[in-house]
Amino acid sequence: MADYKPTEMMTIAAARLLKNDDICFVGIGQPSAACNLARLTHAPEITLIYESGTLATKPTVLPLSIGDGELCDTALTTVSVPEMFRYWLQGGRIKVGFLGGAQIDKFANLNTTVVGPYDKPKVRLPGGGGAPEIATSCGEIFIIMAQGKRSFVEKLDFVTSIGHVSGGDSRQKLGVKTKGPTKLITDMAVWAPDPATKEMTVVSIHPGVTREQIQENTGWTVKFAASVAETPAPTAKELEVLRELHARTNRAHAAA
Amino acid sequence: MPAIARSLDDALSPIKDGCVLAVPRESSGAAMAATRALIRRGIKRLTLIALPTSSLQADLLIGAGCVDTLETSAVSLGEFGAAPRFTAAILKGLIRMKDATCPALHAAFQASEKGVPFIPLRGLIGSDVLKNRPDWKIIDNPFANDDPIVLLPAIKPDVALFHAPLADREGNVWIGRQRELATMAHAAERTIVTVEKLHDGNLLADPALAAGTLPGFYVEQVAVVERGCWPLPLPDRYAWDAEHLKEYVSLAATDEGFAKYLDKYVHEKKAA
Repeated sequence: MADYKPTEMMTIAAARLLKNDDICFVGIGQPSAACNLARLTHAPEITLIYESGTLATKPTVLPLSIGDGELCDTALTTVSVPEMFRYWLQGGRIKVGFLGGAQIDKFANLNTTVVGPYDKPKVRLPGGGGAPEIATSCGEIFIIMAQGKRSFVEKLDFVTSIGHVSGGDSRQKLGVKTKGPTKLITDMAVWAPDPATKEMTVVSIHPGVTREQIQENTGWTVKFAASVAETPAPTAKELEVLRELHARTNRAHAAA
Repeated sequence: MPAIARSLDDALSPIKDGCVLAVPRESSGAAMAATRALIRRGIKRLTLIALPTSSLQADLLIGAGCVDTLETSAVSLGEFGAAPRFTAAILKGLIRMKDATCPALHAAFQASEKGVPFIPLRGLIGSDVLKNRPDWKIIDNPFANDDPIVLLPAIKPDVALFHAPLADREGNVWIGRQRELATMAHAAERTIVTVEKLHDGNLLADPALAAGTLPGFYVEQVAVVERGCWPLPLPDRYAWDAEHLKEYVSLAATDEGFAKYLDKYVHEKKAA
């Protein structure tokens, strides 16, 4: 069996969720790595849209930030940021939004604003950016985050972007018509909302990871689906393409 | 009719203490030479609105004590890390923060450019960003049932300030595809632009250039400042100065280090 890191498994499991005909709004960092791995393997025609307004982006190396010239240079075209938000995101043209966050709760609500009270925070994070509207305007949301007790918390100090709110039909009751988070991919497992309660539930465990380890790295009592699969291990091809992408990225940014 | 200013300081003279100042995100053309000039002048009590995010520009102005209130949707130095002076100011309660979102800020500027007092926006209901904005309201869509929607008040800045590649002697400014710069200029009471260089002839006379040109009647002042975005990028012209930003991050981690940075790069007249 090939030797690989948990974060590689996470990126690969996330990439597998994307399809060739998806139109996907991509966050920088882990989401960007997963989306580009999908594009370089099984989904060559996937349409990747970044917040900076680049449409049909095909970066050869991973961008370090949303203003990275690599995005603009490899896109079919770049529209202005307000055009992208108004007519692509809010116009309902985006099928999948791919988000990360600093903290998540069991209903896949996300915090990227503050830890501690808003008026007297312990930690100040960058802020919401466009995430609240992305989380509610895209057809469905995939979330990619490494697990840990400080990031997977029982209760968020600040809900920047809603997931399934307080569970059940609470998201719909706010007047939101899109599906919200349908998958959460971590370095240990794949999670999906329970059809009734909407609590994120482990549906697939990555090879070599135990239920106890998942619980130890989650700040609430973890629910497992009635039938839990084992995530297929990365293939040699997936690992090769992902490692080449990271190596190219490192070389390019070291030279810059 | 806008004039080409004799100096950068002349061009910036409409930006007074207490002004509501709108600036763009770092990759659309942040007027950094102008920002350093404002800090040298000792500007105070700004309400800074970064459309829709900011990086070094907000961090510098906050660190130098120029900002009372910041309204934006995110502040960070991207790959270089958190914005150290912004973070310190929030933790110490030195500035008033109005967290917004990117679509909300673009929408609120759009309201102002059209002269309407507010604009509806989808997607904020449920977010604590909305809960911390008493000035944003939820109403029932008057044309449907069970359809709550958020209304945002128009944002009308006193001054919009940005950097662009070209201007001509009529004050027309070529902004290319950074269309939000036009929205800022339409929304603001006054617009001040720094540019890389002057274009001979009229930008609006050439149909290819005209499409990316902000007409001069929205522009009050133009100053020519080569590499006016440095150390930030100007789209399609130059990239970040990564070494400089690394130096900034390490210096700005402490109050003393930040003061050293200001001495070295802001107060020194030859600031590049």
